[in-house]
Amino acid sequence: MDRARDPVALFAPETREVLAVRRETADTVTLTLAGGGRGFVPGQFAMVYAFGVGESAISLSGDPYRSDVVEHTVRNVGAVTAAIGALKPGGVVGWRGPFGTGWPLVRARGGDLVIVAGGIGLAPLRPVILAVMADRGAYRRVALLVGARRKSELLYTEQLAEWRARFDLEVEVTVDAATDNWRGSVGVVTRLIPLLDVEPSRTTAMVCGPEVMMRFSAKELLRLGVPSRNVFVSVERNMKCAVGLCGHCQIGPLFACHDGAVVPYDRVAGLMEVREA
Amino acid sequence: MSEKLRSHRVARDFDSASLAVLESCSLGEVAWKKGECILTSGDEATRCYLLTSGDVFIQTTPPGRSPTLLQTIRGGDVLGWSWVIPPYRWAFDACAATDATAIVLDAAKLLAASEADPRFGYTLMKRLFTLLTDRLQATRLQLMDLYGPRA
Repeated sequence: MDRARDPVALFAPETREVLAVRRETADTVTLTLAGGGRGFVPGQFAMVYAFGVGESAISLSGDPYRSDVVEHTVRNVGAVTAAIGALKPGGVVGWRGPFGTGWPLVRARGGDLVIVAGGIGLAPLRPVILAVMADRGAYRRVALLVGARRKSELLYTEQLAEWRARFDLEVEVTVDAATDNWRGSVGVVTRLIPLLDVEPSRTTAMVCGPEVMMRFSAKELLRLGVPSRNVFVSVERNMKCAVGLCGHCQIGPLFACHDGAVVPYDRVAGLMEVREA
Repeated sequence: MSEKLRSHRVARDFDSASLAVLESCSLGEVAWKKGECILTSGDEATRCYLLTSGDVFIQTTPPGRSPTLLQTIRGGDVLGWSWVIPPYRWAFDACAATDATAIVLDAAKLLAASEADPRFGYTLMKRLFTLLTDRLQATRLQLMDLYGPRA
């Protein structure tokens, strides 16, 4: 039976071996798992199960064109992610997915592309960057703006350096606190947006990070003249079923797992202003 | 020069009269090499810099420690507000993070022109206030530990 239509298969995780673990920061690792991503679209996520502990929604952060492995960048924020992050090569996790919506790469073709990432928010955007790099001619100007608390909390530092060295990609990295002998840009990532050299009406923006950062980034993008329908954000809530049934991840009328995680900003702008207990 | 001034974020949308007043306050352009010190805290604030290219660090030096970088400002930003209000002394240091250029405005002339022509003064202050508000909001976000687990 087609897995997408088989309710049992949707909820039954397949086992995946951990092939490699790369430490990104003090609390974040990237796991390489055996087995492909089932044709995942950048921005989608999988439910990763730490046996005996629990399951967590984790974005796919690897190359969407690789069919032999998937990557997940996992930050330790609780019992499940701590257990997943503590795995060593040879360990096994449960995996089901991919789920959710993806970044609008097809729609962005032919125009300027602005990617704004804050903290761990770079992980769901990394497949976008890899896909764009593999098809660079399809886009006009491409700008990647990355913000982190401090240098030691930047993800994918080697790859960021590689991307910065390219002449066809504008990469700006900024930190909130200039510790660790940092001599680069200091300040929040939203400050970089007004200085972008793009044609706003032909720009698609993809923003991922803490909700406050996404909200302020979206406002700066709108102020720059980017149409609200062209601004996309990734919303995150506590996901359980991952297929729009249980309601744990509900944001107003939306289920983050099913209607998101990637949604047009104008669909969630009001919801992102709502205070939650 | 007037083209550079007209296209700067501060002067964009200024009418020709206001632009002429602003231009009359100009002391020309300046270029800094990476690492060059531009402002020193405590010194008299006699100039306003409209950055046109490059990056500048706003920083402070705690006693016995190396300079702490607080914020980077870039081409299109304004460097230096302290000339607007007493005691007209720079509050922080500023150094060129990269090679940088700016249009230099004479602070005394700006204040005198604002007093003499309140319409110009109000236009200028509204624009400076907008940039200052942006800087303040960004500083608030910078302070709130945006990327912490509870953000």
